[in-house]
Amino acid sequence: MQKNNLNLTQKYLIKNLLDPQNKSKDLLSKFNGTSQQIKTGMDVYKNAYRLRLIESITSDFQYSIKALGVRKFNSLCLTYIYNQPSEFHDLLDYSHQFPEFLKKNKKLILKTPWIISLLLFERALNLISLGSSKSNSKSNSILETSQIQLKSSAQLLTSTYDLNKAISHQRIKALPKIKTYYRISKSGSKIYFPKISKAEYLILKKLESKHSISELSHSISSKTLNHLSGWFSDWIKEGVIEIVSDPRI
Amino acid sequence: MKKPAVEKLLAAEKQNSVTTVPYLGVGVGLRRPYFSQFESQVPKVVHWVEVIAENYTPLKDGTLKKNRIEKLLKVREQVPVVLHSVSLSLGSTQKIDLQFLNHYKLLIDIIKPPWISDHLCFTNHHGIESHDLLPLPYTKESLNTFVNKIDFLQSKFKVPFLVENVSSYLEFKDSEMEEWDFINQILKKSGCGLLLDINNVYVSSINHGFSAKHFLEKINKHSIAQIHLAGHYNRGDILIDTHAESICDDVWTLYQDFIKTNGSFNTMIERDDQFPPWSEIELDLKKVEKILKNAKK
Repeated sequence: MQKNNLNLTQKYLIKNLLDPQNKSKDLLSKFNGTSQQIKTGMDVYKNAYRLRLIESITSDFQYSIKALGVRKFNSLCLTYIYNQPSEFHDLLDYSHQFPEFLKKNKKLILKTPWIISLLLFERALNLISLGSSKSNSKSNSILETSQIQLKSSAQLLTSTYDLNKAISHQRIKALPKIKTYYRISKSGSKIYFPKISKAEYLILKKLESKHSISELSHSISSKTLNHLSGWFSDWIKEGVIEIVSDPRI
Repeated sequence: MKKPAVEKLLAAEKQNSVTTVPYLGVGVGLRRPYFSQFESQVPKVVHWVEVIAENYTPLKDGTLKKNRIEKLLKVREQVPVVLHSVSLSLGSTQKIDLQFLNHYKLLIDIIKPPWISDHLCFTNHHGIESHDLLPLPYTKESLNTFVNKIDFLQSKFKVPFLVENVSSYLEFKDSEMEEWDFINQILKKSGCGLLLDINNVYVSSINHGFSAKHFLEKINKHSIAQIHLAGHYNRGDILIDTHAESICDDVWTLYQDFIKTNGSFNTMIERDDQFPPWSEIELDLKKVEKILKNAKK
């Protein structure tokens, strides 16, 4: 048997795995079975590779998917997977490199440059949910490069009456006295003015001045943090906040 | 050349690593959907759990997954926790990733598993991770590669080490022996234990047209320290090892017959996707418990 045959076999299998098409013509010389059987077998590995990596990325960036749309997000994922193979034992490490890949390939996100910041924000949330150490200098230095702030066009309001009731009811005789919080914003032609919780209001108040994503994540309680990712996605979609990226990104 | 007495001594030492695996009975692959339940109280039918090691090892930059480990330690207060890795790439012609090995060793030191395991496959080549259990031809070159890697790991980890047979979808023309002979030789030369996955035997037997029963007759029973049971997807033209379906009747029958003939082995059920309510898994575990009770004494 030829020496290093095993090395060549492994090289061959990995090469096939990373090839989105089935271009290899010499499969018949390597494996037993008909060409259809061999193609079927190889496709199982190829599909598993693609799906496993996509699943990992999508499960780590749920709010970015919502903000970008499934089709566009999946297309970016596939470009990532086939251009930058994983070099990590842990899929979490691989999905955490997704924002870095997009930073290096800005032409892929010309119309949605904000997605990098949203991905970085979600990555910070993932790290926090893992209980990762704050003293991790590498991840913090990445997170510090993005800052978020309330858009100048957005407004925060408090009222001693439940204004939603006032809007949704006709011929109101009396409104109960209750302290309520609102945010008002515009995205495209649509105006948003939902009633919000005090916790959300207080965070948005904080964002009247610029804050880094990591600062914000670390300054709030874990209970609020659970809501933050959902809020963040809404804030982006409804034009409440803007992301100011470091010029180096 | 080594003297026969030295060979014997080395073989005996290697055998020790297999026999130190304790018999714990029924276990389950502990995955996220069932975690909170286990944290507060591990169900009575479960005597040990197995987790995927890479879900708990530090990230590449050394970041610890503290929350996950704390939760796992709460489970370990109640039952032993076995670490099952998927990326040691035992069949790889490349050197083992020492950074990952150190991370894994750190986890072993924290969790103190009664044994650890990985697969008879390769997952990495020239730094690229496939995140899949890729097959290799059953050749002498593959055999030596596996044995060298396992020897190195056993010396590094000092915890009983098991290797698992994988399911495969391709059959190499280069193969010089049958899968069971190949596995038996690895077990003999390395002294490690076998994690026998009966579903994997079944999936490969249908995909490549051999008898699963014959495989189970030929495999070295003395090296078996654990059994995996899981479900697969029957696509019609091929069986795919998904761990997303219930265990099929044929696999149950193979398991039952195997236990009846060969005695009890640590057995656990793996489910990695499309998680059913816990009660469904529990029914299967009780079935395993019953089969083990009726095992050959």
